[in-house]
Amino acid sequence: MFEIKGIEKSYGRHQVLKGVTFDVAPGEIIGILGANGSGKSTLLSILAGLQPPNGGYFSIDGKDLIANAKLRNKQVAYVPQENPLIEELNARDNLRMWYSREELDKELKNGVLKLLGIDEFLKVPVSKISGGMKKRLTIGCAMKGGPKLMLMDEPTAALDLVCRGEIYDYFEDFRSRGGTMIISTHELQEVELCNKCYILKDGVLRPYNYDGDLAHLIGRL
Amino acid sequence: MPGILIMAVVVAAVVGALAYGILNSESYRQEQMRYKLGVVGSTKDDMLTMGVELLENNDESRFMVDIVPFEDEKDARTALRDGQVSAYVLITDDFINSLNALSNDISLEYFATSGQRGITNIMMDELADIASNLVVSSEKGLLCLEKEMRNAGFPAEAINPEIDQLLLLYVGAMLARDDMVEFSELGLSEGLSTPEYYWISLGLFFLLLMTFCSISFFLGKKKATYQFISSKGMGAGKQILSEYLAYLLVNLICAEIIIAAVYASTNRLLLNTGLTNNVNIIKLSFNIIPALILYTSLAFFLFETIQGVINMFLAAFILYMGMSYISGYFYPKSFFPDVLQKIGEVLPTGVAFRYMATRRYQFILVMALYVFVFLFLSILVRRQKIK
Repeated sequence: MFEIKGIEKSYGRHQVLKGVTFDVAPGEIIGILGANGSGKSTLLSILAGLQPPNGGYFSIDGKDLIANAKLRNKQVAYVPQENPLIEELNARDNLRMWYSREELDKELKNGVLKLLGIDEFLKVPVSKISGGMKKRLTIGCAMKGGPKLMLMDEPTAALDLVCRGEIYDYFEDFRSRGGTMIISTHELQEVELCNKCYILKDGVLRPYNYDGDLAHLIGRL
Repeated sequence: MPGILIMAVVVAAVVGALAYGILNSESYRQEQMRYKLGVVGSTKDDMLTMGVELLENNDESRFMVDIVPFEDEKDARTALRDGQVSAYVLITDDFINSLNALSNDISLEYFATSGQRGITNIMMDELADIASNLVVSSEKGLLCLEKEMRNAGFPAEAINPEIDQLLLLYVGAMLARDDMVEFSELGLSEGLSTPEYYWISLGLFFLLLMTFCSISFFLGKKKATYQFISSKGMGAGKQILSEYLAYLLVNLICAEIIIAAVYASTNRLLLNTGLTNNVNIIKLSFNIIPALILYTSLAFFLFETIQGVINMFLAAFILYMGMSYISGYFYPKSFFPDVLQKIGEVLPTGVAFRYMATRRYQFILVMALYVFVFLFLSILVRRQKIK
């Protein structure tokens, strides 16, 4: 169980997060909704360890993940909204930054990289593969070490329907194997995938049950 | 890597062409190290005229000094301001009279621009030595001989051959002077010989420019990449250090290959110019490493901080040119006013030059401090990008 409690963050006098609190159970997908600039990416970057919070607690089974960077890096994977891959290298070389030769061969044969279908474009330079392939490759890199929680910042932004379908299939598969995800999103399809949704507004996180009423959702953002 | 190496070769070719142009040009061979000295005033005096002619034509200093006679001090001053002469000496009638009166109490007046002060001091000492020790003594000797022979009742036919003989002894003494040759070595920065000076200054300038060749290292990288890598446990410090080491390694490989190639070809060129290459390539290859470490960290900081390829090139190039100029890469630093010389010495380019010229290890400490500062600042910038 991941526990997020009282996370606060300010930039100067502007308080972006005001005591954000929620829990994530194994196998859950949590959706964070909110308008642009509401602090969704800031929340995910704090959970990923990219910046420290001004206050609050983030733990797994009672173990502090903010103070314990090693444990956090092992348990938490982060997939940024933009493509973080090195374009000049091919898919294999990007993976080799994280996987040893043996680990890579094993994962490609019968592991997460096989599930993501990365072996199809392994030797193609990243600059020449599609957006969906890049996202799958990024997830493949992020999944090194078998993290339990995946943080995804607008995972299907700017992807076409086919690519989105591929990514959603992987989400389902990851969840079915006990994986936990927190995604920040603007996409209704992703909202429908989530077990729980929250709306982040004015720095405060509130639970939201999406029932298909788009107008109501827009009114709450 | 192949692209980086090709770019490095192109830069080396440009700097090499510049070096070839300097070392192989007719004007350089004729004018290298030459000090153009204006002489104004009473050059009608026979003895002084002869001394000047000896300096100009017979003495070893003819390789170093061009004597440019001026009738009028105004013309000499204009020539000095226009850079046609390095300095000029005003030989007043009082000075000639004092010589003829066998006294040595009137000084030569010497005029130079402030940038020429280093060389001027040496020249003043040299000329003062000539005037005091050779001209005055020789004139004294000649006049004394003439007076004594006249007093002893010798006829003019007997006096003149004796005077001529003593004059020839004086001429011989002037011809035998080799002291001025030393001046040529002192004329360049940090006591370097001409090939050493150009090897070091152009070599360091090449190392600076070569940091552009690996600029592809810094292109196409995104904030998302840094964030992603950081989320995998590799923070700003580790990212900067690992990238810097890779960047340094690429620069080092390119620099060593190119220096070896340029050295081999320069040796052939120098044979044609008549200059000897007293540069030890093995030592040079090792000695450039601290300079390369420094320049790589400087470039790394600039490219980490500045956004956009064109901005990177422009800002870094302008900075490199300015720093190289002030630190005496294109002209010996003694050409600059004192304040600029001091600034040039403490700049990274100046510290690297002084290290290469003197190989004093305290400069390595200063360079290490610069490297630390540049990398520390790069880490701060990267931290901001990750946030």
